[in-house]
Amino acid sequence: MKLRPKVWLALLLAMSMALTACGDSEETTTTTTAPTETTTSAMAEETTTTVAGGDTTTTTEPVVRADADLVIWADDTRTPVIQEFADDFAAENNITVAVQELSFDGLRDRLITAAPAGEGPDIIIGAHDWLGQLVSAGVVAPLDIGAVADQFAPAAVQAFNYQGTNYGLPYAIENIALVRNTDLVPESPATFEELVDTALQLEADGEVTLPLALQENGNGDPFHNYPIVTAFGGYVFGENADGSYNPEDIGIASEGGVAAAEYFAELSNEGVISIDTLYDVMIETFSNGDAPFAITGPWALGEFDAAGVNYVVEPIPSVQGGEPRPFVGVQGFMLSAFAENPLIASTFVLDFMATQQAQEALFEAGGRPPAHTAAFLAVAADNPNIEGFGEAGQNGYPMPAIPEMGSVWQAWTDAYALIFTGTDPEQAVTDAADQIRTLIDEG
Amino acid sequence: MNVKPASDTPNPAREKSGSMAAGRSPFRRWFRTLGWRHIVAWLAMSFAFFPVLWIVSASFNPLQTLTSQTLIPDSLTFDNYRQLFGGEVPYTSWYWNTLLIAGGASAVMTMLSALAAYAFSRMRFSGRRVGLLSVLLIQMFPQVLAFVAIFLIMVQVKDVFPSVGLGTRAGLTLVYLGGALGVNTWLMKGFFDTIPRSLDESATVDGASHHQIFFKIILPLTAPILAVVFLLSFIFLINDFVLADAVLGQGSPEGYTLSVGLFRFLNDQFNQRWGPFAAGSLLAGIPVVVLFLFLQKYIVSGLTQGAVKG
Amino acid sequence: MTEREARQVQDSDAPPPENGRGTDAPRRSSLTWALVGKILFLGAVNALFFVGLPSMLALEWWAGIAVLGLATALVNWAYLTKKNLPAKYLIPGTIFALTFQIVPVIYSGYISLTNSSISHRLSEEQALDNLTGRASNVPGTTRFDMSILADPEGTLALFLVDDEGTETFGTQEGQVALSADEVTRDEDGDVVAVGDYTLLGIAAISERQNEILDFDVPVERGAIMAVTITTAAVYEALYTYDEDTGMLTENATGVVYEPKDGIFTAADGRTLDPGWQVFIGFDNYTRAFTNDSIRGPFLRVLVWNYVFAILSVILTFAVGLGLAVTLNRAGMRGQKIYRAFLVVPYALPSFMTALIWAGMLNQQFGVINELLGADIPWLRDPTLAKASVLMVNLWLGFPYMFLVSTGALQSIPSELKEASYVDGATPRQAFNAITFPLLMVSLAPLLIASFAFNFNNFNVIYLLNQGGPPIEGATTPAGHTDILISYTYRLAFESGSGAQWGFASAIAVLIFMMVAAVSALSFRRTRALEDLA
Repeated sequence: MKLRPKVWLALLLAMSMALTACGDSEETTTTTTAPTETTTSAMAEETTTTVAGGDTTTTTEPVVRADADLVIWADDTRTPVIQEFADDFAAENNITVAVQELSFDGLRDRLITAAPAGEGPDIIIGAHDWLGQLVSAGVVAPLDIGAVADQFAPAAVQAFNYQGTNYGLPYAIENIALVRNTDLVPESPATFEELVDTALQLEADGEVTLPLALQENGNGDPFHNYPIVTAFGGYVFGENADGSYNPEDIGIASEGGVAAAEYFAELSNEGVISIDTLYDVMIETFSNGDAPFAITGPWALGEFDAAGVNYVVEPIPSVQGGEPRPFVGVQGFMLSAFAENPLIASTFVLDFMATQQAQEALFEAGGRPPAHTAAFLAVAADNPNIEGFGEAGQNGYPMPAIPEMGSVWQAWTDAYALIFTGTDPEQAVTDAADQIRTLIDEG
Repeated sequence: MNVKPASDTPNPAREKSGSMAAGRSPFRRWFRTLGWRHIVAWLAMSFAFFPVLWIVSASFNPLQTLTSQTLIPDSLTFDNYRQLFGGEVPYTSWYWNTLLIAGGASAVMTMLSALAAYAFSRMRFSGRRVGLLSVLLIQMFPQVLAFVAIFLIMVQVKDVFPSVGLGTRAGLTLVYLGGALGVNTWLMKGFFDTIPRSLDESATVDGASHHQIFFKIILPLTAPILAVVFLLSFIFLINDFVLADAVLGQGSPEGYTLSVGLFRFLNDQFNQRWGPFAAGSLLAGIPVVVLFLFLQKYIVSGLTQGAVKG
Repeated sequence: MTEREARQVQDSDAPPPENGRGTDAPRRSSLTWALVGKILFLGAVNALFFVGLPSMLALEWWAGIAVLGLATALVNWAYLTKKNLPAKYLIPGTIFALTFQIVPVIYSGYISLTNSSISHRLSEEQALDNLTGRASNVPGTTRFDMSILADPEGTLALFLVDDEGTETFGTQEGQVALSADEVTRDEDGDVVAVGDYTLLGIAAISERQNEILDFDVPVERGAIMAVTITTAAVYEALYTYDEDTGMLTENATGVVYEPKDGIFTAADGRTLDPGWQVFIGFDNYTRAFTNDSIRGPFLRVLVWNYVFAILSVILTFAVGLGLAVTLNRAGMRGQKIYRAFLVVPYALPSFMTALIWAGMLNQQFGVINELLGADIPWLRDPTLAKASVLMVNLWLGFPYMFLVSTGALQSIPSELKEASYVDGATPRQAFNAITFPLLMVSLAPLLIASFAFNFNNFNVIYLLNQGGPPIEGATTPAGHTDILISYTYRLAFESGSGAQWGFASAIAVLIFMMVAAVSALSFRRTRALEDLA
């Protein structure tokens, strides 16, 4: 290979450019220690970074980092509230805090990918039933909430305890309950059977179009159906002596599970519930007074209120003598195992978010009953519906956090879809239980 | 150089026989030559447009849920549009990011693809067929997993070249350029093949170098396919969610593209805002339609080989 | 083009023949510009590599060095030598394809040979850090208010106040009592120094927080450690790691765990999450072939997958080409408007329109049943659901085919057609004999690509109906409209303990091989078509 003169020129030029560029880059790295340059990376530029107390930081130590001193991931409803407290925290401690908004479902998956690669946050806000996956992925760190635990509902504290270790500070408890249109049905039904009769009567009278707005998402929705399953003694996983879930014992096709499935087929055949009840439909029909009852959670109340419908929230009445017990989910703050600022992070969570004031503010934003006992009482005093959800969740089962729960949803959903379209209920749940066992064994 | 358009020019012989077969009525004649085309076009448009009307209606409907929508809303509102520009979401910056990234990347992609197509069309070299096949096959790897790999690559790139790493628009543009060689290269190569080689040869005889032939002769002649490829790339990039979410999804909302922003916006837990989502998606479609109208003359009134004289 | 012609083109890369003399000055100036551009480009590429090299070396990012180094070498090779004309045109696109297409594929191939899954995601070091870092609060001990101090050398110490108000001082040697004169306080009574040790400011704490968290003050049982920047408590570690044997011992029970297949495993088979990623050879592939759950409804899913992909291509192409031909008529009014309107389905984000379709096809509340006054289970009846998926995919896909067909139609020389008319051919005969074969030359590869795309068209399947309706009595959850990718990904991500990237990657590689084989075979047939041109 023979190089022509112009080619040599090109090479020379290239080299000189490379060298100049190198020099430049060294220069810039040495100058970035200036106190005001808190946002040196593109990433930090694009996040909401709060610089505390102006630029008067005394720069005896090189405190400046590419990212903020504390990075929090939250979903859209929580972000504004967390931001407020983060600003206070930043000002008080003279540090920078960045709150990044992610979608609720995206948070968990992204944490698992990003944290080990060094791109994760210090704190995330999420649900307790993520713990199984997050702990086995090794991306959450234990958090000792012993100092404040007694101010929280014991069930909420327990929910964040996974295999004997605590991993989070709870802030909200959520579960579904019965929502009743008080104009259409002034008296609360004593039993579920009474509820069904009332609802069917209203439909026959042409007052409503959907007797019970039970969300089924078009495919069947095990989460919303669970209270009725438990009323018959059905369950998803059996419990060990210590209250943890046993993935070997699947109760979807247990005696109670089958009875519940048959009852569902009956409800569907009578037209009490419909597989086409999407979230939208549930909101719409109840808001318009086209459904006298809905079974849903605190997240829906905002839209009911906006529509101006009169309603109360109360526990689901007993189904054929059995007590309906919903899944209970707990939301809270967790620390990343790959936090760059673990000590600042635990300080923020334990000193700033464990207060009654913070927990009430989070309620204002998300509408979920606070896990902080005093905050819950304060909120419930003004808001009987929150009380109603609390009461309905009293005997609920914590949503299983064990990773095996991931193998359950699709098969269970399919079973309901099949029941709604006419498959023998016993067959449908038996197949589903078999499918779940296969999936768990294959994992 | 004198060229004429190659669209389906009416042919005197055919016109004649057509009119004879169609009888005397001018309407029947019109129908046989043009009328049925309008009917087919209208049918196709109603199929294409029915769901779009639905989206338009949803975007003006004060009700936020999908199933409460009717084709003709009971009342009209601009609230959904107002919500997009009212500061609740940084819709305008999503829009701008998208135009910038998709526009820039599509332009470079088209260029890279044209360069490669020129080589594949005009030169014979060992590995040519393997290269052509690889270009086609490499894009067939299921993209569902690419998310993790791209993310990890961009994390590393960020540490070395922060300005083009994770969370930057430039970084996403680079990632998109990875798809420049692909089925579009084939589309172009097929078109380049139809440009007669006598053109290159005569230019070569005149002393033109290969890059002059490429830039001065081939590219102008292939404007229609460049336009098509640019448009296809642009649409593809505007639609992309997976890669955009991998690269930008962890930053602040101001940095999102339309697809990431709108999807997040709709998917906020228990908060399905169909009205603004419909409005946002409709507006997102405008650049493509405008671009198409603008490029249509290049796409349709193409220049071809057979028509080249001199 | 023959080899000889190619050589001619190559030769033209040489400087213009001297006999041209002063006659073509413009060309000469363009050459100079080209040279400047070339030099700038080469300079930039080389600069990029040498700027990046030090930090890549520092990060020990060998893959990055390899890829960027290879790219730089390729560019220099292609543009600094006189030969390699094709390379000059292919290199730019190839470099990006290498980085963002081929590297991810290689990465997936590598992952498919590991046990990578949710509990085997970390490196061994990260997993070990996680386990040895676990500690539990010692029952019955007090909690402390704490201040963090350091002596002039930077050695840390803690000033501790227990719940009874007793003040003590904690160093790495242990907890000692304090006399009042050792403690310096400010006017508020807060501690500012203990002996040589002075209070650390928030900036210093922030800077040294990992060190502070690792700092422990040994006490009778366990050690005092910081919880927040102002509180501390007594902890004991859950596990002890023996570096010599590589064993991990659970302190409370004495059970010994040994590292096995990327996870700490006790003698009775119990394991400790998180594990770490290790190389496991072709196990994931074996599993894909022998797994009962995969074999269950696999055949049905595979058949439907082919039907779906092939019909999608045929339908979209038939409609797209038909419309392109219909509208490709000079003198047709409204042509432009028609064309613009037909592109609209393609212009809207497809994830949005797929969701809209799902709403429109809803049995009870959808607009389609409402307009028809019917109660048709569009998405719930197995056959109708398949038809619906195809119909929606047709809607989503025909504008693409319309666009490329319209583009390709322009490249058909009108003389050819005119000649055939003169020969007495009808328009249909002309289309079949001339236009269509010529179109296929440029469009056949696109149809193959479209087949491959639809074969893995996860989005439309998932967004429209999540693969449903479910197949009754299947051994694993599967739906009538599930295609391989949606079905197997569900298995890879929802079975056992969650996401199994190793297994998912193996499946992706297998599906890729299937699609690539079909495509490569079809491609061989286009060879014949290509020679027509």
